[in-house]
Amino acid sequence: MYKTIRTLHLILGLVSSLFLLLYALSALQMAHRVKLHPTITEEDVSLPSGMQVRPFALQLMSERSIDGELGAVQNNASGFRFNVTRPGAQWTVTYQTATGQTHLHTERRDFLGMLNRLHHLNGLRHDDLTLNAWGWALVIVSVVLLLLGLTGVYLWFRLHNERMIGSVLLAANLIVSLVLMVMLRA
Amino acid sequence: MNAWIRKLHMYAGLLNFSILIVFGIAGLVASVGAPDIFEHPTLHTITTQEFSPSPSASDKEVASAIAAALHIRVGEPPNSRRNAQHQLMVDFYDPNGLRRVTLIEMEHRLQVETLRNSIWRFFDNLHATTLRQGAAWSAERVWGWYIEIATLSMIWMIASGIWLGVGQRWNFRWTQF
Repeated sequence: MYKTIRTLHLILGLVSSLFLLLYALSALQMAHRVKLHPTITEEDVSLPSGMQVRPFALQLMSERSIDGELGAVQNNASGFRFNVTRPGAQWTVTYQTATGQTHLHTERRDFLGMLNRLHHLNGLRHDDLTLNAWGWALVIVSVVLLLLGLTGVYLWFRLHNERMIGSVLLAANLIVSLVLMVMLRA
Repeated sequence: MNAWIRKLHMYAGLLNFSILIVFGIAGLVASVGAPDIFEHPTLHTITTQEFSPSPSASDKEVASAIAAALHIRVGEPPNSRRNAQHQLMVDFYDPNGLRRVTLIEMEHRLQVETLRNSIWRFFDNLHATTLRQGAAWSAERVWGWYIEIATLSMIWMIASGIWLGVGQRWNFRWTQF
């Protein structure tokens, strides 16, 4: 039993290590507000007039190598505006229906910016399969995190010579965190 | 050396056990899209109280005065904006949800709308409560320090876990080559 749990703990830890590292680094970036430096480009293009949002977005994606999820659609009197988003970049597209005049605002994120977006990416109902795959990865990593905690406590408990120090650390952790949680929830 | 790395890995894990559970729950809550405070608050109340801002104060100063009048300790100046009726609105977020305060200047009163979240969203907010939230020496700030230490501990546990895992003598056939 001990060996099985130990192997499980090691394998789960190794498999999820890169994901957990990503979340930890982006958490530090957000907590300390490390500034992100996206590369922004602006472009005006002329495209066929009279198009609707989804066919237009599809055409734009195939012609301009834009890839991601279509969102934030806003219709106005002269046309519409929408975003195409993926973790490394975001395109904001403004289209004039009568003339076909299109403005493309492209924001490409640096490495930390991409980690930041991946940290916030969740859910299993995206149009894009890659984003859904990431959503599933988050579900699996979350379950793995719970399992790592529980198996870790089991593995410590089986080490008799570590019980004294471990009990103090675990008790301190539980007391402090539960008291804080109750104070915050009250 | 490996024995010490294993000890420190284990101690870090025990010191951060509850935060691992909070992080795991937060990931699941975000994935399944648990209802937020605007969709399904567990408590929704609207109360009023008398309040008169200083006639020469800016919106930011009034927002800080509102926080003081409601006994809300904040770490940074609260976010304020004007609504469609040009009334000053101030949002106070905490792990329990939101208190949205509207200043009805002509009537010299504050309208306080409280939206309390579910226990699952509370856990989700807990994982995002960092050093920047809450006033000095508040429970929020102490929790923020705990998250900070837990995040650094997690980086240590990942690094030491990889070291221990890769250095392990695995008994699988494919690792024998």
